[in-house]
This record gives sequence, structure tokens and C-alpha cells, in this order.
Amino acid sequence: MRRFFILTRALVLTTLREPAVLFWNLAFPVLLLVLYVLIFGEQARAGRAGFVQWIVPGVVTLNILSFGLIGSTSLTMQMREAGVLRRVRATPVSISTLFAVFVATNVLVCIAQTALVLAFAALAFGWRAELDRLVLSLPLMLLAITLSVALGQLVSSLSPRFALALAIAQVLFFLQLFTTGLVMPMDLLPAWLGEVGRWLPAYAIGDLVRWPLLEGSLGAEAARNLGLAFAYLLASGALAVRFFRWESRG
Amino acid sequence: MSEAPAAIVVRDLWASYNRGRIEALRGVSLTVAAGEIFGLLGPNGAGKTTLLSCVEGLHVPDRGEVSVLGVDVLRHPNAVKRKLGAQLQRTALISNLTALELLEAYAALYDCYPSRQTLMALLERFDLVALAHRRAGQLSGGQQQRLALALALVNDPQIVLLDEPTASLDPQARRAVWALIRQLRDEGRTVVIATHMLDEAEQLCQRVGVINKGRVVACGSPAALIAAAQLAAELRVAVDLPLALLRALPAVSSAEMRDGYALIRSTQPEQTLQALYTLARSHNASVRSIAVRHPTLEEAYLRLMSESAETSAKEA
Ligand SMILES: Nc1ncnc2c1ncn2[C@@H]1O[C@H](COP(=O)(O)OP(=O)(O)OP(=O)(O)O)[C@@H](O)[C@H]1O
Ligand SMILES: [Mg+2]
Repeated sequence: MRRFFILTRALVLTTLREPAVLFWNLAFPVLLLVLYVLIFGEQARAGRAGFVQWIVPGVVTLNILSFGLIGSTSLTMQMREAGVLRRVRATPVSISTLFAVFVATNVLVCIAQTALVLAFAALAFGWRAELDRLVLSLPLMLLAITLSVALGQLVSSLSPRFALALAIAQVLFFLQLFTTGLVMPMDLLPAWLGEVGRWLPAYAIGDLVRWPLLEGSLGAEAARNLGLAFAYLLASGALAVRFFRWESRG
Repeated sequence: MSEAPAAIVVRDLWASYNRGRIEALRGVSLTVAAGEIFGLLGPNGAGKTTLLSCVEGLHVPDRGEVSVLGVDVLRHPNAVKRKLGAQLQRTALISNLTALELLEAYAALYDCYPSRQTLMALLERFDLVALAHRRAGQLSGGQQQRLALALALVNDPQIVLLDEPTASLDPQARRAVWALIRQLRDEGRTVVIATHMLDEAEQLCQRVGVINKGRVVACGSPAALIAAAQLAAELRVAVDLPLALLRALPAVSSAEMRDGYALIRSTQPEQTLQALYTLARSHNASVRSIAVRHPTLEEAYLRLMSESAETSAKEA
């Protein structure tokens, strides 16, 4: 455990000391929110206040998915391509410990992003933060973030190169974006595609994050989606560890 | 032979890259005795780094055996890694962590939690105390190299593997690192250094293994390698005697005049000198000055390399 904490602190420190990356990571979800509210807020039927309540959970979900899949790969990939991991390999640390450290670091970053978006939404757009909703959301968001980051780590493990990891992550991100009801209603999809979408991890993530924030209650499919999320988490963790790469060549 | 327990035993090791397309090691066998400084010598691409990687568990050989203090590397990689300290040829440090933070993190990788005092003492050994709070990316190349060496000791290893440890150091820092390497040996650790600097090997190592194209072409003490190469020493003598007489002295392979001195090449310099004094006395000539230059490991090494090039040309 002590090892885990020291290593996670080291990686969090490196992340905090990369101002450009940090700024972008934190600014991106806020920008997303601002754009949505400014562009669509005034025309919304429910009025701007209603629109804000509705869009904030969506922005949080999108960010969890895009940071986990795309953003969280970069720390691992950079350390691998720079040769840091090769040196680490000469030590007796286990891959599962390293995996846990990478996941924890990225989860912390994503929690910070989420907290910032929510705080910004409350202060700038009058988003109403209700305590019971937040309390209910917290463990589900944590699960969603961990799952999303674990998927990103799996992409890193499977990609020999940074560029490939980014490409794969983006494809997975956009495919899920349009097939799991995150940006367009699933009724618009062909039936078979909608059925596939319901089994993708982003579907579970969206459901688990949006309902509690939006309604203060679990969605009708919460149990199914919790199961799906845990299954994906275990599988992606196991595969990411199994196929972990220490070096980018050879 | 003394029966010191072996620190590292390598037996008939074959290793390759790109699924066997690049053969890096072709049947290497060597033994590193506990408590010695062993040098791995060889030209670029000889296979030194690959050999160290196989010992460190960073590269899986195609076949052969590697054991460290009696433990098989392939079967028990983590037990071996705990006993080893490694400085890699290309070390990438996390550039925005400070020297002290890196030491702490690397110690944690070994499940070691030294006190800050212990870590500062380690930095002190490498003259890095003033830079303890400087980020690794803001250190000069040589300072980074010294930090990499400090990192190799963070788990208090019994065996230290150093891949070109002085490659980017200034002459002073180089000598400081040499002193440190000797100190490591005096503390009872075994040190293996890969280098192509022959003065370094000659100064530091009890024994060296010369590798070329993935094979060990010679192994032994620097003195033994020099002796085995049968190179001539050079005697620079100021004496008024005809060259023909000098050439006739025992063990002399050639003699010529250069800058007013007689330059005599001899494979047995002591014997030649004795005979030279006797000769001078009998001719009433005085020997005004003598300088002897013994063959160096570098010359022996170059001879070995050209010989192994010849044999591989013959094989082809
Ligand atoms: N990662 C790699 N992928 C492919 N080939 C490699 C790799 N590393 C080394 N080689 C090849 O294996 C051979 C041995 O290389 P190695 O790095 O062990 O040599 P070396 O003796 O350490 O050389 P140097 O003095 O230049 O460090 C060389 O032919 C090299 O091109
Ligand atoms: Mg090398």
C-alpha cells in the first residue's frame, strides 16, 4: 500500500507540473460546458436554467469518456516512449501495481476535472447542486471514471505506439458517442446498432452518471448497468495487465 | 583457482531482436566472481547492453542460462531484480520530478522506504546534494548520469550493473565515479561495467570480457590479456651504439632511430635492458636515458579486434 501511495503521489506530481497538459485537461470540460450553454442555452425549450440542469450531467459524462479513453493514455504512453518504463522494469514492481498507480493517478485528475466543471456550472450558470444528488452520484461517478480510465489503459497496453493509441482511442470514443445515446437519441439508430450500443461501456457510464445527477435517483436499468460496468472494469483491467508493454520497440 | 562463489553465471546465451532477425548474442558464456569489478568490453553493437539486459530481466534470451547468486533469472526474475542495481545506457528519468523525489519513488519500486537522511547520503556520494530539489530535466547530461548511478544503488544491491557509467562525464567526474565504483567493490559488492573506454577498464577492472559480434573473444585480467596479445614494449634509449647491434639484442623485434633516440621494440623488455647495459659497458658507451612504454590494454584490444575480424572473414 505504501508503495502504491508513494508512486501515485509521484505520478500526480508529474501531472501537476505539466502546466500545458494540466491546463488543457481542466479547461477542456469547462470550455465544452460554456460552448453548449452559450450556443444552445437561449433557444432551449426549458429555458436557460432548465437547459443548464440538463446539459451539465451530459458534459460530465462526455468528459469522463474522452479523458479516460483519450487523455489518460498519454501519461502511460509518454513514459513508455521516453524509456522510463524500461528502467522501471529492472525493478521488482508488479505490472498490476503499476496499472493500479496509473489508473489512480488518472482517476484523481478526472475527479478534479469533474469537480471543476460542477463548481463552474454552479457559479457561472446557476447550476443547482443538490447534496443528496451529489452523494448518490459520487460512487457511481467514481466507478464510471475508473472504468473509463481502465479502458484507456487497455488501449495503451494494446498499442505499440502513441499515435496508434490515440487513433484507437478516438475511434472507440466517437463510435460509442453516436451509438450509446450520448449525443443523439438511440431511436434514430437502426435497431441492431441500438442493441449493440446498449452493451458498450459508454452506455453504462452514461446511464450511471446522468440519472443520479439529473433526477436524483437511479435509472430503471441501474442494476444491469452496474453489472455491465463492473464486468468491463474487470475485463479491461485484466487485459491491460496481461498485455502491458514496457517498451515501444523490440 | 580460488572458489569464490560466482555472482553471475552466463552459459551459452543466445539473444536476438526483431523475432530473430538481428542476432545480438551468439553463445556467450562467462562467470563474474563475487566481489570483483568485471568489465564488458567491445565495439558498438557488440552485444554488451543486450547481455546486461538479459541479466537484468529486461530481455528474454532465445536460449541459454543466466543466474545471479545462484538464482535463475528466467525462473525467478523478481528475486534477481531485488539483488541488482541497474544503470541503463539510455536512462530516461521522469523529467519533472526532483532528484530526491526520484530516489524516493525508485526505492518504493523495490518496496524500500529509506529515510530522507539515507537518501541525502546517497546524493552526497554522487555530489548531488546541492541539486536534490532540482528537477531531473533541468540537470546537465553528466548530472543526470550521476543521478542514474545513485538510482542504481537505491535498493542497496549486492550486484551493480553499469552500462557506460562515465559516458558523458567530465574527466574529474569520471575519476570521482571510478573512485565510487572501487568503493562499491570495497563494500563487498560486485560491479559489472560495460564500456568501450579501455583506460577505464584497465584502471578499474580485475577482469574483463571482450565481446565482439555477440561472442566472447577473450576473458581475463587486463594484464593477462595484454600478455596474451604478445605485444612489444617500446624502449626509448639515448645511447651511442649502432642500430645493427641493438637489433641483435634478445627479444628485440625492431630498432630504429627517431628524434635522436633509439626506438627499440621488445617482447621481453627486462631481458633486453639487461643485455643492453652489458653491451654498452663492453663498448664503453654510456646509456644516457631510458624510457619504457609497456603495451596497453587498448593495443591488446585492437589486436584482438583485428584478429577476430580476420577469423570471421575466414569463416565467411
Ligand atoms: N531494441 C533493439 N531492436 C533491434 N535491434 C537491437 C536493439 N537493441 C540492440 N539491437 C542490435 O543488437 C546488437 C547488439 O546491440 P547492443 O546494444 O547490445 O550493443 P552494445 O555492445 O551495447 O553497443 P554500444 O557500445 O553501441 O552500446 C546490435 O546489432 C544492435 O543493432
Ligand atoms: Mg550498449
